[in-house]
Amino acid sequence: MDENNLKRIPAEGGMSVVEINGMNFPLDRVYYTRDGAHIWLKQEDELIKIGMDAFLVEYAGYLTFLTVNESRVKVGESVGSFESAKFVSRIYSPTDGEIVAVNEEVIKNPRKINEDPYDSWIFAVKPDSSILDDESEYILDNEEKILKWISEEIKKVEEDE
Amino acid sequence: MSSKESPDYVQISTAAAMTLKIFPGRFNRGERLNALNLLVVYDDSCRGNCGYCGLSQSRDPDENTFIRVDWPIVSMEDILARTKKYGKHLGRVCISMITHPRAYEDMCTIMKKFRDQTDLLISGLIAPTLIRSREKVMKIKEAGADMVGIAVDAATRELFRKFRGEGVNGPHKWDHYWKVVEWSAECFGKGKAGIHLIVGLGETEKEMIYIIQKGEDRGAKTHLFSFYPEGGSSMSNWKQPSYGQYRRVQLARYLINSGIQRAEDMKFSDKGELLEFAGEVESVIQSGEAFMTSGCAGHDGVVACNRPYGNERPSRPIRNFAFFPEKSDIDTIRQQLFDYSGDFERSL
Repeated sequence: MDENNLKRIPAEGGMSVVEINGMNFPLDRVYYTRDGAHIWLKQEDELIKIGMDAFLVEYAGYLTFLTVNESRVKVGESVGSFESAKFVSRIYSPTDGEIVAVNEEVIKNPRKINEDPYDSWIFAVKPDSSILDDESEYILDNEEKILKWISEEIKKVEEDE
Repeated sequence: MSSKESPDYVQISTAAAMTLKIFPGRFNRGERLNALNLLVVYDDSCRGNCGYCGLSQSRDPDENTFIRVDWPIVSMEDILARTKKYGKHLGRVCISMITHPRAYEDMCTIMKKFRDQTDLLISGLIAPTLIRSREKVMKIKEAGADMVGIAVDAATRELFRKFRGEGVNGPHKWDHYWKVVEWSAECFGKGKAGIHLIVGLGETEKEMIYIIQKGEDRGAKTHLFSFYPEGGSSMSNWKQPSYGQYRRVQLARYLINSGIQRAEDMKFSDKGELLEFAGEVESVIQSGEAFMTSGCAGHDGVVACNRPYGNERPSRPIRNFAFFPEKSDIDTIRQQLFDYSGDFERSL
């Protein structure tokens, strides 16, 4: 991958975004990587909203089906699945806790996630304890870590092709 | 604004669009598409009215999928450039006609572009209703194709009439389709012509297997598809055929097209279910090849037109494998193959 493809760009409102190969990773949230997960987490009061990051959306393709089916969840357990024309995978929980809200808009029209993955949260969970403490080794919360992680992920995909 | 029509534009399958990086996305289980599927495109669309087809005139205009997925319209210039850049592993391109007065000439024009600008082998999926002479078949060969396919689709004369001909006020005729199959086998050579057949249009297993034998005897190999209900089509509420039915037909097709067994030596129930093959099949089941996608081959002689997830959602058990099935796949196939009561479907 060309180093020139990596850049940090300022966004409106002072938020920063890491851009890699045309994929954006806003720094107003953290990224969860356990077992190949590519999900973002954003704290809103006592809840954590969860969605898919740009890499996963690019990898999956245009989404056609999305399900979230558990109310009480444990870390690492499947809470649902997503599917495109040619790809299917599960969504795993980053924490023990309770799903207190599901974004019905994206369940009905998963393609919204392709259009804007960071404005398309999938579910909100009330965690039993702090994710940042329990799963800290899988949480990426700064530009340097995100760049290194996504660069490695892109390399893996390129090697597979 | 000028129309995006062939020969300057074509529709391209989702799998091909992903392969050429027009669409995002990867294939489940690391599969890879080895042949591009293109379709000529016109503002006034296909003259056919086939009951199961996404291109049918009578279909709900808000629905725009074809064979389960989106087919974006892309310029030929872009496709050729992207094929050179991203398509080094590809073995073949297939250009499909639709039943439109311009489709034959435009298909030949597009074939010549691929012949002149790429190393891909070329197939034509031809619309017999527009092809009224052997000479027109021969000219497809001259345009660069080494293989042709004919989408007969229905296994019997009656089902063909019902879903493609008079039954839907459609223009297609069973006898003429088979005439074009014969011309194609004569012009392109034995094994270089193929027929598409769709399992699940209401035929029995026996009827399907006998028509596969008829194709084989006329020099045409069968490329098998499983019916998928297209949203907005008149058959959108139909079910797909059972896995048992599909697996038995797949295995019979492989045995017939490989010259190992003949349809009339197989045993069927009164309902037309295949009960016994005409000899040992265990080694064939074990190899898994019979359950892989059947289609036109690439330079290496292996099927290039592998159509990953062409007949089912990726979350469902695979019907046509785009790769050699693994041991766990074979175990599932065996369970499906000998299921006559729908137990497998109920277990999903």
